[in-house]
Amino acid sequence: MSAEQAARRERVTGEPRRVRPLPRHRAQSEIDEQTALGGAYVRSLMRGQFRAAVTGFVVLALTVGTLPLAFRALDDDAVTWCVLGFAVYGPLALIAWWYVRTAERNERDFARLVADRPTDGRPTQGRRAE
Amino acid sequence: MSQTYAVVAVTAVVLATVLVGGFGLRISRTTSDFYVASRTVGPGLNAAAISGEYLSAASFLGIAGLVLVQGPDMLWYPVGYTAGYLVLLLFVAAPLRRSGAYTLPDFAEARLESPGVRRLVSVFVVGAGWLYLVPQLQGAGLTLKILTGAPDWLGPVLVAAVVVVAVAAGGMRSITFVQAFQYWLKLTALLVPVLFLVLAWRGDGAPRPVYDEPAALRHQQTVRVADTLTLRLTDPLSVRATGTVDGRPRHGEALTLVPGEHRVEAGTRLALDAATRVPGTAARTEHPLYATYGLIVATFLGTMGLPHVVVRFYTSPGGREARRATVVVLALIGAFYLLPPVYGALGRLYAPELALTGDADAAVLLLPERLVGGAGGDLLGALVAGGAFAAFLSTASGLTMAVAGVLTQDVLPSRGIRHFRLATPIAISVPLLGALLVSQVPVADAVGMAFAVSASSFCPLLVLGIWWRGLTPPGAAAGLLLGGGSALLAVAATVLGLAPPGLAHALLAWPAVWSVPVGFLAMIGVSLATPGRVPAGTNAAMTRFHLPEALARAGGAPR
Repeated sequence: MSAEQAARRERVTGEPRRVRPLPRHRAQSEIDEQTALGGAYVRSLMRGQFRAAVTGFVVLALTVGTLPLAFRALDDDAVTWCVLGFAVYGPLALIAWWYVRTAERNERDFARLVADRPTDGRPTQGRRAE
Repeated sequence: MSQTYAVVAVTAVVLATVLVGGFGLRISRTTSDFYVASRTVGPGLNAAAISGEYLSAASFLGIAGLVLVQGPDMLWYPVGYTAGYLVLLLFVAAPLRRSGAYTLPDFAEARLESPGVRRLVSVFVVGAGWLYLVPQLQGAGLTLKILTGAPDWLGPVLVAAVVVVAVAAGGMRSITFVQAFQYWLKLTALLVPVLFLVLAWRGDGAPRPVYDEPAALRHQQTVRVADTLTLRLTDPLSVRATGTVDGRPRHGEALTLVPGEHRVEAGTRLALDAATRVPGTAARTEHPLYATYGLIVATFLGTMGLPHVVVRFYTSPGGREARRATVVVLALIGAFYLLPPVYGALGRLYAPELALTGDADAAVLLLPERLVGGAGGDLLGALVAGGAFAAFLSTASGLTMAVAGVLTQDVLPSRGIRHFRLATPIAISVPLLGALLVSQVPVADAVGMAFAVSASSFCPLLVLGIWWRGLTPPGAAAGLLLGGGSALLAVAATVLGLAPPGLAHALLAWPAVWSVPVGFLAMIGVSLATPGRVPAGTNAAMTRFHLPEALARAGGAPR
């Protein structure tokens, strides 16, 4: 809360009621003000995250989800014991690790996209997608 | 088994819980501390606390017991509990944390701006929480009974009392410490004995566990039936009985029980010859593949909606930390779940008669004495008993915390810590009554039912609420009522014994396979039919859910 705009005469009678919004990056304010362009930014982030989540889920369904059928086809209880009692946990952790990496990369890319808008620093008037 | 060691161990766990809770009381100063530990719990501590809370009596005792009775198919329980966390991570973890809500009703109201849906969700949260609390309390009763011969009611009452003191006094901050401590206690309590058990098993010539079912006896064995039980036999069983079987007194004569139902009165002794194949008392479902998928759907999708699991996410500082904590949780509970199957396998070798007495959940508690014996066996048994009590206490306190939070906000007149402390006894007294009045269902089965209800109501609400802009309040209400309501009715019918045998029984006992799609379809269908009711704040809510904190925070520089 440091970057107060300086030269504005003001009579101080108590705590300021509202905190004045700080200068923002262009894309950031588009998001904050919920313009169509800002909406498009958020939608693109959501699409990326949703794709990552669905990919993880499909991998889970195709591997672990089909195991009961495989066990039924094999009909060997020793295999069931080994897979369910031990082997299955590694792949679960692997899917989790992959997803967290992907999701964090999506967020980093998104943050870079928002920060790198060429209008950075200029007053936030003008081109707006509404 | 020496009762003294076990009593000392259980007392120590109870005292430690109360003391750590009291320590939390001294540092728990603000309301925010109380409810969400001021959202400052780092991934490591938080993950241990989440795991400590999640590993319930069903994990600690139930899995080994079910594996003992019904064989390796039951290993789907721990796999499902773990995979449920993965699905939670994929679809819910970070957005749910970023939503800023504290309970599921808060989430519903923030997303849908509808007090009606909020109330409906509250009812389901309290219902699922109570459904989950009953087996925790019953597990405590079973443990105390096996270890010390205490009456059935003592365990549930003891756990309820400790939970009221610890939760009401310290709130979330102290519970976090208690539960992190209890995770490590539970892991130790299963890991150390398992090492000795495996050594003893090797010393015994490492007999190969019987993978095929049913389990067979290795020695002649006499079983004392503690509670009157009904045996359902599919094959004839030869025993020598002393006591009352099928209403007739027996005096140790050889007896061949024909397939069908047999009533064995309490106090009867059954002598079984070596190599007798021990039948399970639980009626095996006739549709094992369907039941397995029912279990998979319920646990994979139900975890995200369990009230005590959801609350835990709000103690993370942010969405990224919530996600990372979830990965650590996966590793921690995965490591823990390597142990119960070992107990189940050894139980099939060394304590198969438990399948007959209906106390299979006690396998974990009895194995150290059976295999190791002597003072060492007693000490290990005491360690396991302490761990089991940690399991009841941690899950019960987490659930009570969540249910009491909802009661405070949505049922009792005004908000505040004092009302929260008032809500705690209410939150636990109803399941306590249930535990004392309803007859015992195997712990893991009862927990599975809570998962089915959660999967059919909260999973559609969370997934659609987080990822679909078209969700409307009428749609959410319809999905909750049709999906969650039908699962609840099916489960209730099964517990009350109203389900007809055959396919209908399987469908009602494992409702998730059909009730989850019903929940999703009802939510989507009714939402599409009421497009005018999409809440005005939907876009703002979506932005808040999915934007990284660094961008959402005022003036924060994007990293």
